[in-house]
Amino acid sequence: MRSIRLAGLGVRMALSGGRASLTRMALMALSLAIGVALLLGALSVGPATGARRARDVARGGQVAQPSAPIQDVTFRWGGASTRFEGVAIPLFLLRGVGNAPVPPGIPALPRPGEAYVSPALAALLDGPDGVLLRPRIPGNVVGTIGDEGLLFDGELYGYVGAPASFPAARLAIPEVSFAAVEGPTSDLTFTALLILCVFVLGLLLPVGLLIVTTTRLSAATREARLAAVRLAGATQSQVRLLAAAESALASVVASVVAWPLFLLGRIVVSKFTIFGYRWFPGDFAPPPVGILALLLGLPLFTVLVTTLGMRRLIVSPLGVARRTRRHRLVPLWPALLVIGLLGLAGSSAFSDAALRLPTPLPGVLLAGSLTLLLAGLAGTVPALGRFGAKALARWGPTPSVLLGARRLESEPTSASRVVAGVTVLLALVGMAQALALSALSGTSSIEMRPWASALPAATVFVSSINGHDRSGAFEVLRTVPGVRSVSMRSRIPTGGHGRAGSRAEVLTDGDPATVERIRNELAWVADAETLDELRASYGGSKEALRTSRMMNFVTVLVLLVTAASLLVSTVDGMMERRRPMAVLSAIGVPLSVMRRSVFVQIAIPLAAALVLGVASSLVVVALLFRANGETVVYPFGPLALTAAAVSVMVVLVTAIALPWASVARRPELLRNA
Amino acid sequence: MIEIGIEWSEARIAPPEGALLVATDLHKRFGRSTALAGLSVEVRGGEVVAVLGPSGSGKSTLLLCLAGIIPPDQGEVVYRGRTLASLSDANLTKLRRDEFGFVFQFGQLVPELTAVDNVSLPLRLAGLRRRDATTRAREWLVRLDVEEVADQRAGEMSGGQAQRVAVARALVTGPRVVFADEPTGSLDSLNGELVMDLMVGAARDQGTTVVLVTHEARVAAYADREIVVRDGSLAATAGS
Repeated sequence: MRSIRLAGLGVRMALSGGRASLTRMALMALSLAIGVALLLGALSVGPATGARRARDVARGGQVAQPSAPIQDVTFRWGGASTRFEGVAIPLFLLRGVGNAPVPPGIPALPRPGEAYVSPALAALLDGPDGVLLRPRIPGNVVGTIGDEGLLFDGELYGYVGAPASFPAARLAIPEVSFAAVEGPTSDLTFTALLILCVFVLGLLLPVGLLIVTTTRLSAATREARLAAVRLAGATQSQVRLLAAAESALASVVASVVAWPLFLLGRIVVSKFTIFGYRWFPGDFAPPPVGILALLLGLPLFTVLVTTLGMRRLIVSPLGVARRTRRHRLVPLWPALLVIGLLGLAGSSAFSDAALRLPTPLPGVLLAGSLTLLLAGLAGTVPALGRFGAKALARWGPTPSVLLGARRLESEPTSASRVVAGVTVLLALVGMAQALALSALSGTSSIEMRPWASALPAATVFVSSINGHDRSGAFEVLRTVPGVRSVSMRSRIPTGGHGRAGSRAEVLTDGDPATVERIRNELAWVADAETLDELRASYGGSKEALRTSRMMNFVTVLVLLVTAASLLVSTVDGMMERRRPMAVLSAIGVPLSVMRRSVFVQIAIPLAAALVLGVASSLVVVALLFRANGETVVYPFGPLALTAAAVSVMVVLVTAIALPWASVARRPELLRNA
Repeated sequence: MIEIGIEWSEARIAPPEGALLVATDLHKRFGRSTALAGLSVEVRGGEVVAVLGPSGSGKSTLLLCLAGIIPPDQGEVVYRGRTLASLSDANLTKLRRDEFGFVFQFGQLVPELTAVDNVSLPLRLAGLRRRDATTRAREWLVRLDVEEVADQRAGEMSGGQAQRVAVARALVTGPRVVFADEPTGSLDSLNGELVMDLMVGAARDQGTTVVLVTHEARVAAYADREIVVRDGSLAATAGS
């Protein structure tokens, strides 16, 4: 009871500390809320992939036994599937026999001349580009497919009633049911899972930095307040309880604010295609156990962090002292780095099939290795920065370098911790970009292949399979507006398929509409024969562009949050050191020297961060690619760009923070020195 | 720059000079409280002046105004014929670095710098090479009997040691004036006497003027002249 009353006092103290105190509380609660929202998102990944997979399995159907009589079945044929502006559109012809099962999401099987399409496909057909796609949909749209029959919001998908004239022999194996069955819980590939882990960690990192920064805001003022409470008779443990109450309050507020952020976040995420995967917002539903653990765990976690943060703080009635320790390069951090690297190399040996086993082990190992690696990086950089600072202080070429380096050597500042986070950012960007390049080359983007650069940009390849001669159909393409020439090829290098059949190289005017007209022409003229190679060179580049834009968006977002943390911690660091700065000013240290010393405190860890971040990123990329037996694609360009952006951001933010140096050195503080 | 300082230091062995520092009709308020209310004072070259008075009388504010650290609301401080208010921030900073030295109650060393770094800092700011500045700083640490803490940081020293390092920092550039605000306030009587002996002795050796704020009579006894401040005004003067 006494503890509760004391905690209540702590809460009142936090709320009655004026505008600065309330701002600090709000910032702390907001940063925690963003963290909780991200964790809710991370908890939802499993359920989301499971829900998506369940819908996929259900609409995939179950085939009839070969010996079973043909009754109460639905025949389905996917040969009408097509692509539009690089996006795949699965289209299925359906024909029912007897009491035919109906695929999920539609009320009944479409009759001949009818079609059910997804809402996104309906919108596309009704839109200005619809005219280029309409010829490939042989039927009137009589309804849209419900969410239960689609994999994600915005999927382009359709069912068409098979025309009566359509040869029954061409219809595929009959489906007897579209009910959901027990099956693998995830359809994510290893690369996709890795990218997802990198993304979640990449977003959690700056938020973690923000949380650390906000909890350390106005630390000296808060500590002085705690000393005053000690003077009034509080014990050391009571003081800790008072401090913990403030953190617990922030975490309770954060638990409430996190939900609207999470709900908004899942809507935003559902709008993005991440390497071919998309979801409905509702798929992101964290398990109740996870929610409960998070809601109960957050206040406990914040109280624990606050208490641990105060373990070296001696709050006495006369003031606050800190138990100092000699900083050494703690072997724990490099050890974590090595363990993370080894774990990552080990986990990359898992095949995609292993990931589909009903065990979370591969995912846990992967995410765990990445977390260890990133934690090792984040911990190693400040230690390296301190060593650099020590060496530089011994050399001490100028007073500003001496002041900055000695400050950094004696205690890593909050700002230097934020800069250390930049290492992790660099490593993540490098990994993500390399994986993106790898994933894109894996999806047969022609321009990723070395020989593609020698071809004209507007070249389209068409081919048939199964040895059928479709050269006649391809010749017809000469009449398509926008087609300049059609060259028949006996064999073209398509990346290893090497199947026999008609193949043609079609030179177009480069207009994407021409490619769609070619598809329209071939959709039905080719006697419903499947065309397995119809790829426009711009198709890959569009996908690459979209992916690159998304990565850049995330990188910029992370940079902005990091910049905010850096600004807050740099300014707060200066304001907390007002007295020493006022003394420096009194003894004749020019403002310019003080400003440069602030720069030095940022520049040293930044240099360490850039070196370690880039190096670790390249090592991880090499490890992952070699483990998968792929040619290593080093992301030099994106890494250099990110390193430059990070450096510019750090310099700019520090420059923005510098005017506070003149405020911080105001000499009034010396009146009672 | 520093060579000029050395010449000054040698030239200063020949006091007494005329009025080095003249404050006229100083007024200063902080919010609603009045710290200085029309105080005028004159400090001659080479003398040791003690400013006495009860807590809150305006002693420290007077010292900070005389040193050009805070500007008075009204009145002026003239140092060697130059009005401090007319100097730019950069020139004031240079003046404090080259011609003034400071000792505060708690030493106020830069916490992350070692003793030798703290003492050599003003010399390096004045343009002296690192090696020369360090050598000079170590000489002063020996002179003030704190050479054993040369490579330690402020937090690793005792209060008396930190205060002697602060005195070394104040005197190392050979300043014309040392401003000391309660220099023994945080020390026991033995350490307090030691610091005062060393500070005043070294200052007199090089002809440095000392303006000393204190409320202790035994500290004021080191001074040639005493100024008593009460409620922001000059209450009395004593001495030569």
